[in-house]
Amino acid sequence: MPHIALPEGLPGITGPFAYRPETAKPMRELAEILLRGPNTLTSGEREMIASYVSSRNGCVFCHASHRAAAAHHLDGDYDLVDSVRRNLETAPVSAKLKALLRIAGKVQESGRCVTPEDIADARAEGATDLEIHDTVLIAAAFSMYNRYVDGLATVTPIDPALYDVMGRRMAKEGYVRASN
Amino acid sequence: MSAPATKTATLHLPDVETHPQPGVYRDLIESARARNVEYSKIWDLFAFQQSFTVHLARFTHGVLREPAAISPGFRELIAAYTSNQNECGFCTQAHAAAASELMGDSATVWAALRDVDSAPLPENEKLLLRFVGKVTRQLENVDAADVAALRHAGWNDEAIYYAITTCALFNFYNRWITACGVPQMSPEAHREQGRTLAARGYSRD
Repeated sequence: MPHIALPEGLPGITGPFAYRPETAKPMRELAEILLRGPNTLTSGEREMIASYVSSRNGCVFCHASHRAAAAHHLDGDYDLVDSVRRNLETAPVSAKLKALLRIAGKVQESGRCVTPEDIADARAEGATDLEIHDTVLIAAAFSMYNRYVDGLATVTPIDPALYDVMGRRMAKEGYVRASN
Repeated sequence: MSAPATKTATLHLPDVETHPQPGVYRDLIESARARNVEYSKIWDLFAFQQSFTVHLARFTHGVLREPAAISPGFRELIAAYTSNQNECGFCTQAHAAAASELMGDSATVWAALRDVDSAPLPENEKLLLRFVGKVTRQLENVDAADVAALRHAGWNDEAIYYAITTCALFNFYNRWITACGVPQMSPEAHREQGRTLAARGYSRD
């Protein structure tokens, strides 16, 4: 049960979004730009970063929903999305994405954990400063969303099919919608 | 294009510093550089990606300044307290200064940051600060008993919502600022910025 009285029947973040639409609107716009805006990182890669950070923060709702969104950007390949969480070093993703996910993992702990070597490693794998900055932004933003969702103890559905539907909408329609 | 030499340290991502987009933050940076005065290097981050930061500024203003069950001054203290837990020197100084201005009491703000238990604050405010500390550092252990204690101390749903949302927002800022290497300013510059934040808030629309 949520810690405060949220409108009923709304899963995860959509509960507090309905409770305070004025804070919800910019939070939705930030997610839209970070995960679906014009970028040299694909939406699949960015959703993987969001899902990875949420998993490390123990936020089941954000992890499951962004995992599904990532998979929908990647032809339904849940296995690829899960591979980075199981073992980042052996995951079949590019060396650049691995380097960015290492930075994202450190940002999840603390921005102070990111070293000049981490940044140099990402650059050596072809990441631009813009891409490194976007990775930091996504990892930091999900350290916010995760606390918003779990700090309020929002409703966390357990049915994977529900997350698959949610992830499809997030991938296809995005985060700024007329209704939810 | 390269940035003119400044007294302040360089960010970890040079492209961020050298590619400001046209707009209010670039104007602020150029004006400070022209006068050779210390400026807040968070402006470099805000100038770099304005499609994002325009929404971020509005969001920040709403979370910290919208009328709510917690005063803007105490929300600034929550921001400073969260930032101190995350060892973000820039944000701690910036929001301690804004809290000091709005509360009119710098000694109490810094006492709370040093040691909340012995600070001269009402017990219910100490409880709320300890709670956001837990949301920051032990999110998975936050439970219904913590929230029941807040209610018992007189905090309502709206207060709890704004405390958690402020704390969550600063868990974003602290990571962004420290990962990018935004340095603390001098105490005088932070005091000056605190006065500006207290007077006009965060939205630059």
